[in-house]
Amino acid sequence: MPGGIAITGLGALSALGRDTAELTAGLRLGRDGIGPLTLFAHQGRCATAAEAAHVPAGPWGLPRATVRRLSRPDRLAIAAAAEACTQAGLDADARAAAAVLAGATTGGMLETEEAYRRWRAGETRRLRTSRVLGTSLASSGAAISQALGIFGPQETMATACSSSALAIARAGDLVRRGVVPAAVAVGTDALCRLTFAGFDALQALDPERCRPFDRHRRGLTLGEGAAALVVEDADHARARGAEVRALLLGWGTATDAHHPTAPRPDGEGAMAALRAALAMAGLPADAVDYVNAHGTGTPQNDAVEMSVLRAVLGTRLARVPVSSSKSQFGHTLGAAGALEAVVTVLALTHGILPPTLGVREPDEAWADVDVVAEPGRRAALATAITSSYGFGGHNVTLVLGRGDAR
Amino acid sequence: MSERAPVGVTGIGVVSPFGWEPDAFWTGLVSGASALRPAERFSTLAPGRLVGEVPARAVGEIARSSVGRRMDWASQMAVGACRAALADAGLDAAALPAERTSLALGSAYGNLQETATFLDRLFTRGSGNPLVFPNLVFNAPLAYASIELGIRGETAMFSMLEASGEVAIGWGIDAVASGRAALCLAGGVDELGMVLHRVLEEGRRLSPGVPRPFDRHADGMAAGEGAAVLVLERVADARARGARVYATVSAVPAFAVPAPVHGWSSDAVALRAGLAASLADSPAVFVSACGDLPRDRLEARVFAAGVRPVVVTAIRGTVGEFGAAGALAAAAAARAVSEGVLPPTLGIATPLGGLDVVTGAARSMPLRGGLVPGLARGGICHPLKFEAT
Amino acid sequence: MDRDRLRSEVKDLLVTGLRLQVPSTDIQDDVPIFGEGLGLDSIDALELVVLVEEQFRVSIPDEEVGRKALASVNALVDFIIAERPA
Repeated sequence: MPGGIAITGLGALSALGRDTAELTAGLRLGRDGIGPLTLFAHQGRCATAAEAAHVPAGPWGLPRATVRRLSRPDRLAIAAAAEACTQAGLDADARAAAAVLAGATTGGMLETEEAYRRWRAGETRRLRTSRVLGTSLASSGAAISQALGIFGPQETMATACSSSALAIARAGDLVRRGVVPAAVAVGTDALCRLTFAGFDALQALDPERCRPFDRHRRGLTLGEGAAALVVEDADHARARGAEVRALLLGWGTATDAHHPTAPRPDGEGAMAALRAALAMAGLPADAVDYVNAHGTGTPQNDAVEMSVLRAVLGTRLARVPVSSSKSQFGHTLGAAGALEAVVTVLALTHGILPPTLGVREPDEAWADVDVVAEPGRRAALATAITSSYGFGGHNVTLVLGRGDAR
Repeated sequence: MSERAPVGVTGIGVVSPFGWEPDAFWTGLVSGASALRPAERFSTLAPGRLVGEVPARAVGEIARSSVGRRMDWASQMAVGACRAALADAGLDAAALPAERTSLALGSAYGNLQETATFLDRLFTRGSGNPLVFPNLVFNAPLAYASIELGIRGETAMFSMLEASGEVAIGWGIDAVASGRAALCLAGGVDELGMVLHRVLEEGRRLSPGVPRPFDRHADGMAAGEGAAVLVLERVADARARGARVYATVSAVPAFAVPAPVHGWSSDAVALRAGLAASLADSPAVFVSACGDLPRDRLEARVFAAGVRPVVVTAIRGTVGEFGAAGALAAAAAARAVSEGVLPPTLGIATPLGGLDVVTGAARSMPLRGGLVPGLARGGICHPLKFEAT
Repeated sequence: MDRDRLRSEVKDLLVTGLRLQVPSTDIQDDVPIFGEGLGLDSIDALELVVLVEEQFRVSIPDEEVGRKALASVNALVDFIIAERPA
């Protein structure tokens, strides 16, 4: 594709704020979105989470009865997609032909689990359809489509933590092949008791807060939010006067085929994804200026991830800043791929290096690596990578390049 | 960018209420028999509700890996369908080109039963069961199938309600056509459990008796479960290794139309317009009709006999309705095109007018193509076109 | 009065059963329940039929009957009075 694939609009809601402006400020200032879990009561080792700063009520032009049934991730997703489409300046015709590629993991589980609990406890006689209509992971994509008039192909992917990274890759593919002129890639997820209890039962949560890449890291912190990116042909974008905020240079996907939750210790799948992404971008490993890591803060993930980076970047790793934004807004699961891609675009655009909060002492295995700890660091970045590794071994890496903005 | 090559279906694996045996699904479908029986696995509110339950199978017969022994039911059906598809394609599961093999599965609701089990313990004991949680992850079937078959190429799991199977197959077609994968296993799985059935029952979506797709007096659907997987390869590669190609398959441009977010569209005109070109090539349509009036009525209008002759058949009256039934419809379409036989739609006593529906016995007719429209709530249309080779 | 009590029971059922965001006292007696009035749709209609049948022990056998019975709060009250077991 001659002009490349452009990213022309961004949207983001997370613990750091209700839009990309607030997110950008949060990245610059190193704001900590992790705090006490207030959304529901939880008995377990961990009582912290990165709850969304704001969950909009709508109505986004949808019928009242529909709005009543929207789940928490639906609302976050529509708001993110709306912000991205507005930023991209997509008019009604452009939207009508555009695709929606969504990433999710548990859909409207927060609402469903409560309805289920009440039914099992005998507090309600029936488990009613309307209480579980928002359950489906697909409802966010459908809500975005109907609210914003986006009527091209619609797909919702669910590969755990890499769901929305896969959605971005799919968006890039559809645009590259000319199947659609533009595509909105979205990721969304909300906290729910099921997810919280599940990760806690696996002892994967840090009781206080995650410390990605820290020597004494103990686990992840769950977060919630949504993010969206408008992906379109770069020449098409420039021709209509849209701003090319970043370029989607390449992507790679590979599977561990190892275990339902644990990553392959040798990182082969993650390595294959990273190599494939760089190959598609036509770039050598030393072109990478910044790594926005998957960086969950679990003992296993961070170790495998660093070994993968070392294997592929070699000696250059010591000179490439690495950060984990999950340290600021938690692990947002279905939203993570998209939210962290947005962060990476913002880093490229504004020349800011997002910090990794909570790092007191890097693990000795990567003492030589520049794990960005302090906020406020600046750098001129041309190319960056962001990776997401989903439970079940579904690995995705995206390569992003700086856009036209000067 | 590689040129897009024609993609063919070289293997079909179906685990359905007709059973696990190869060909059980197709043989049952064309025989005019119904796979629906009174529910055995759980109690229904109204006695004697007909459901499409897949017969139980010892997990040891499906799983070869140690982690696979703990597979949830949906994953078991998915892996079973994958194994059957590979065998049908004449491929050795132990000798696949790991990094160049892709896998795509779709499911409407994933492993709801495991979810219910997990939540029950959480709400009564205050903590979750760590052994159950890995099975709750929506992509568990994808993970287990990739582990069992050693698939390390691109893998993707989709959730698109009634079009879940179609979306996964469409992605698989792209993976193979583009040359990113040498072959792709693509399909869908959905399971039937007490909770989902109860929601349908209380929501009055279920027929008190036999479901009657496209009947004037249709009074609801019957719930079912199952998995279907297709082996997709470039036709050229299939020919090179002497494999039989049932049909070529292509992903028609998917689209959406105005609709209630959680309900069925009433915009039959827009749907028909979007499908017009495909209907010209594929006059046999494997619809989603299942006895649920809003859906059936919509499809009746979209596929009404018009200037172009269109013959339709609905398999959900035979095996029940579930999100991934579209993958079973795709399997049926590939077989139908290959053999020139259309399975009948069961249950019709007083047909809705204006439609040419295959009823009674299977209909033999040369078919140059078959269409699976892939309609779903929220205005979704994700068609797949099968063509005779 | 039986009719007044029934009217407020019906309004409460609408609010709690369908999770409406308006106080039940704001619901007017003769305004259409579906469409513009309360913003209810066909999914709500199905649920309302079930709730009404359960709470008031009446039967709403089909769409035709349902449409008339659920036209407004007054219509529903009339229906319940006419149809409920003695």
